[in-house]
Amino acid sequence: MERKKNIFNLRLINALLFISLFLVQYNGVLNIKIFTATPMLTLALLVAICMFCSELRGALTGLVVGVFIDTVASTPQGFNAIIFCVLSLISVLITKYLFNNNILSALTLCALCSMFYFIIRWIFCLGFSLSFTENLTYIMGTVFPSVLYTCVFIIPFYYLEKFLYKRFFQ
Amino acid sequence: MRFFLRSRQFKIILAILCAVAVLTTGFAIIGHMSPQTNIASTISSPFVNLFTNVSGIVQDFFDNYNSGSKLSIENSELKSEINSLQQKIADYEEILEQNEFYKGYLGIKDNNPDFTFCDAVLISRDNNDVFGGFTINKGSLSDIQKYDPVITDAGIVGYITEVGLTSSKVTTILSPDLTLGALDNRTHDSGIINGTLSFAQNGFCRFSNLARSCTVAVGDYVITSGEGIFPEGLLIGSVNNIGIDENNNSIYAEIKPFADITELRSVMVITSFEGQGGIAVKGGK
Repeated sequence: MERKKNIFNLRLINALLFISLFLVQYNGVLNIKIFTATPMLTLALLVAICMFCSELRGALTGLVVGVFIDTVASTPQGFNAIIFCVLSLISVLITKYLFNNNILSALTLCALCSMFYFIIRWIFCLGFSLSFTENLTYIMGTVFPSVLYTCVFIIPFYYLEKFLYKRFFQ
Repeated sequence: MRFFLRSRQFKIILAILCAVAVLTTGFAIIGHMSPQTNIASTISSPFVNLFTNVSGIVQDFFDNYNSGSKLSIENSELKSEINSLQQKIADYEEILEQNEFYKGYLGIKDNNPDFTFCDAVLISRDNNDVFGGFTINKGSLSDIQKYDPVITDAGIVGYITEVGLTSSKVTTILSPDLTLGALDNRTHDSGIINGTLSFAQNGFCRFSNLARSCTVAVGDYVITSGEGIFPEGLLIGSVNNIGIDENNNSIYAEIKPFADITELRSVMVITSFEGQGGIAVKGGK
């Protein structure tokens, strides 16, 4: 009974965190850009959560978050749902079978996931409609800074998730 | 890892992914949001709308504070005298703002009686989209359809690319996905407007394919020619700079759109007009 309550509380906190980050990232007024770098706050939180959960739960969390992002993002529909689901599953698997669960792994995983996300997004949304120079400018001037900016947020999210996991399950 | 790849969990995840891919592809073909996106959109749009409004009020407050610190000192001295009038002024300003908003469109409506408008408010903006794409709070329930033009009283903003029940996504004229026929209002030189990354980063779009003999000049107004999905005669922007294209074949002009794409709060969607249904001239996709 106690365990079920803890699971519910953890999910509720994570859901509220996702909603807050979703609103901050996709509201029409506040701008979290630094020059051309725009962070994927929800992706950073998703990676942090996936480091402490099972494969199925991670994938489903990614899918749900992706579906909500699809409602507002300027990407082909279903793009975020599928990419987030795949990325969260990969994050869980890498954490379980390849990396140790520490902050360095979290940073590496976040960098890999956000790089993968931005590159796939570039291929699907821009790659074929921009010239070679513009594509290069976009990758160097927007993708890389955005990846770095996203990685900054994994640090607080990782420690927060670690704290929550310990608080509710140990 | 191998054990997981053979497990039932993995098969479930794979099945869900396939289902999502099939559903979204199917609905994308007909230009509608997929059911799961529609449900998520219906759930999230009131919250996003509310948050956008609240953050707008907060930003307005700080903008006013920063730009008018001197005025605010004078204002504070006068405030005691006008306390009783404040509420009336607030009401009056709200009505005036609404009036101004609709008055701008009245001119367009007078010139084009066949236009049917649907007003909409911007509820979210994708910060990762360098071309300023955004979502509005109206969808198919308000008769909005894919390819409907989106404008402000200043000029063209873009067009509808995805329609949900209560929200729609807008692609702006800064995007390379949108190509539209345009005319120089003074010289009637024709060309096409499209977006490029370098232009979009500075808030401009490109008026290209102009003949080398054209007489387009800086400051000229550019309007829609009526080809494609936009009605004829809508203002697009003014010529900011003129150059020769990379292949030295034609001239292009840098256009500053009249509508401030990055600062939009509310827009109008033209849901019907005479001659609607022209084929969209698409660029990238």
